[in-house]
Amino acid sequence: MNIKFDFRTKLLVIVLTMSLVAVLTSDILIYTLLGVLSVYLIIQGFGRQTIKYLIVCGVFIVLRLISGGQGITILMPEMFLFMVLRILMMVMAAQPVIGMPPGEVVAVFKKIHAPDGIALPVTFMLRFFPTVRSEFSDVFASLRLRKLLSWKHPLDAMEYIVTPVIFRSSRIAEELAASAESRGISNPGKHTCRRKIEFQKRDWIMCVIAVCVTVLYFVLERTVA
Amino acid sequence: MGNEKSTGNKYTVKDAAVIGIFCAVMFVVFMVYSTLTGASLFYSMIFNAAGAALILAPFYVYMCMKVGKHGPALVYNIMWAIVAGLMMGPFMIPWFLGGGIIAELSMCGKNAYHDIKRVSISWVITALVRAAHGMSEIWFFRDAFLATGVSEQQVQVQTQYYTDPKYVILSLVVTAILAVLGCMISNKLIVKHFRKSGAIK
Amino acid sequence: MENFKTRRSVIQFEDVSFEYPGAETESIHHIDLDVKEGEFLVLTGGSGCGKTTLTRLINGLAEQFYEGTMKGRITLLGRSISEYPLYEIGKKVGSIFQDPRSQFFASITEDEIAFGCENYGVPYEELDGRVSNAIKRINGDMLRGKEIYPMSSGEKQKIAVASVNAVNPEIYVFDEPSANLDMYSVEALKNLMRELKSEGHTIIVAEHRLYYLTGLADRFLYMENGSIKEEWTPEELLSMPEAKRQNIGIRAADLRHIEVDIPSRKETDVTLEVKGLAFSYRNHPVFHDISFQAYAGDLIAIIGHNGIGKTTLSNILCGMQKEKAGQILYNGKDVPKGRRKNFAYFVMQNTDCQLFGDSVEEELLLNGKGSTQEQRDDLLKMYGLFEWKERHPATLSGGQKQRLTLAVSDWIDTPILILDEPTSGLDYKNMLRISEHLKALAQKGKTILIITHDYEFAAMTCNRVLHFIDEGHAETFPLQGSLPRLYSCLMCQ
Repeated sequence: MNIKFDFRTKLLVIVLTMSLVAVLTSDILIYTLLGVLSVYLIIQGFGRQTIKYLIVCGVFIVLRLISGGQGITILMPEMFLFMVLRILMMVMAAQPVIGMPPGEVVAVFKKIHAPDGIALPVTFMLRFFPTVRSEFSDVFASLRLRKLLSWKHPLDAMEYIVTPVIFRSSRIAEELAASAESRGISNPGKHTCRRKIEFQKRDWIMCVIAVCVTVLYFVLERTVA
Repeated sequence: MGNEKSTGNKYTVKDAAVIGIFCAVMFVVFMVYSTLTGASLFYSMIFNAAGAALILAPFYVYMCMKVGKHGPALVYNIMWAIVAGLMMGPFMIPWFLGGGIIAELSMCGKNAYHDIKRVSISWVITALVRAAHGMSEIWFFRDAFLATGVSEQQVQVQTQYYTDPKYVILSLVVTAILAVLGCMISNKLIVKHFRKSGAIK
Repeated sequence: MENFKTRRSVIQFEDVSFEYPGAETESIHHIDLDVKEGEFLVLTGGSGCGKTTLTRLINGLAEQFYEGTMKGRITLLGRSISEYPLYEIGKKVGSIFQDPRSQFFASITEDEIAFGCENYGVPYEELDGRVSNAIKRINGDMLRGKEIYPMSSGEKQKIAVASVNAVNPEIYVFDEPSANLDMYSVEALKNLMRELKSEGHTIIVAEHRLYYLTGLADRFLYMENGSIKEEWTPEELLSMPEAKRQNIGIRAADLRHIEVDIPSRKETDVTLEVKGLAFSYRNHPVFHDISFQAYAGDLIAIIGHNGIGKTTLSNILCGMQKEKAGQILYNGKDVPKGRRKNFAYFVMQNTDCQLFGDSVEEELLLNGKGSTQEQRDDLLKMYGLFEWKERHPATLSGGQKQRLTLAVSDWIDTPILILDEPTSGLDYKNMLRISEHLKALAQKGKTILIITHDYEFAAMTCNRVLHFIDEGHAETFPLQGSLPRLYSCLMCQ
């Protein structure tokens, strides 16, 4: 399934989830909320990510069961386990926003009339994210081939890793900016967008459901606690 | 923005590209570093920000000096605010935004962005803001955790490393020291590589 | 050939000189040029001759983006170019740059193609039509809705053209568009250019590789040291004596007439043997059951279409990646992954990521603390880098960086050397230099594997070909007497 919601709907879900995880104390409610969030993600086509999140959550749930309220050694006190599970749920709620295609993010920024000072760097940032890893991995591969990486000289290693990455990033920044300028990015007139950002019927439905679920959980929390 | 020459202090598309791309690099480095050092260990969270202050410094310093005008410190913190707001709850946004404004204010005056000392100061502020945000999370979840039935005292024991002034100060001091150290290393790189090659004036 | 004399001028240069900020000398000086409507112009010449700068003057980037100083006057469509803001020039002059990896913004094809139109405020109702049209023009239906980042350079280049096309400028400027493309994609690019020309667009191309332009261009301008030295028609270029062409240092205009002297194959010691090699990436098989042998003195061209695993094979050979199955024998011995880098060195395509020193000489010193000054100077002289030895590697041109990474590989001196596209963006003289040097290394007994889609270079340099046909098949054949076969392998996809 792949239902697309408006970004405002997604933001509402984040805020509601956050307010819930901040007050829910009952484990059962937390675990069922996990299920509700999974459904929310799956209908938007985030099946794979949902499985990953559930596995990580599962690990922490098991850790909590093992610890039985005592925490596991000094490294993982009970409150840490308590917090991580809740932070994970907030990240799950944020997944649809994090996973928005960059084109749509740019459209949203245009829609809300974000100042260029923020909107432009965000555009470039989203563009560069997927390539960062490959830029670094080339540098590491080359360093390994030339046998220049050594733990004995951490400062040299830092220099060798950081310098080429900075040069490369800086060059890409310049070339991208040149390409953007030659395609009119700084045109002062009106910019349009091929992606329409609209609050549709399904968004209304989703918002109503989200609010109802939240209210329900609040009520349950009162009665259970 | 077409007439860059007449508006030497205006923020150009080139500057936006530098800031955006270096933010992307810093985010990725931070995420990889956090997974490697095990953000899963409660106490490593205290020093997570400290380590990040060291390894991210060269990118930050380069970004600031390459742009060479007002904006990078603020925009960088706004980016963090957006990401932190999404991942850890919107209550993080004012925290980072405030930090960004302070960091940018510390850069007031002409040519501050070409001065390694001034850039270092703004980096220390940025690093401290990040170091302190773990504590704000504890405050956020504290009441819910108490409501599960644990005693106030137990929470105290569990969160002492975050709330005990000794540990808080230790963590902030280490962060500040590593941030300064990071900037010193960056300055070396700037002189050795980036000024020599003309990438930075 | 058409007569353009009577047509209207679209671009006029009057005594134009240009200097980049911080540069010691002018990049181009005293250029006079008149480009007529619908004309197809090719700028060629060695690295650093000023052809890229000339393209940047036409698209306005030289003055308004790189912030250099211009003298003289450029008229674009009847108005002085300095009167236009940069974004206005973008509507009239569309630019396609050298590196397709660093000119796209969006992650999905359609968003990218719409980018220019969106910036110019093309109404929403019109956008989809323009995008669809542009996609049709590049024959890119299979690229619809796809992510751009994992695409091949050829596909990215197509999208770059489509994105400019959607804005529909009068003039197109290409800066070394073929540098990162395989021959099949160059053919597609050629067809696109032909179509643009037939629609009456004015086209200016700065390029080293000329073979694909002879059937298209109206004029070739040869530049040297920042000025236009000669002008040829396609016929004049094609009939140019080989000796003159090599002397002024331009790439072959006709690939069928390359004079080569293929080194004969000596079946001496087997230095490398690959048996039943398999690799898969995230459960997608990249290749399986690949086997071949290489001898001391072999110069093998590795060819095959994009994504077939040529780079992956190289990574496995030097121990950067782990094979899924199969054996790799160096001098008859099975060598585990961790020690392969002692036998094979890989020069990657991305030169920026392989240079770490703060000067050219330091770059060599990093891997040769015990070397003498004389040894270093000799090596740098051999690669034509001696005069730059104090310079920071980042300030070198693309070709110089490429030579420096090769110099480093000499220095590390493993018995097997693997190169990934060592000639992208190299002019004739530097290509020849590298070709000669690799042959000399092979003479000394090295085994050299070269991933390449450069026919001219492969024909001049290699003695054998390793052709990846598909996932499970790779063939090797000697190049002696089978140049046409190499040509057809490179042309088909």
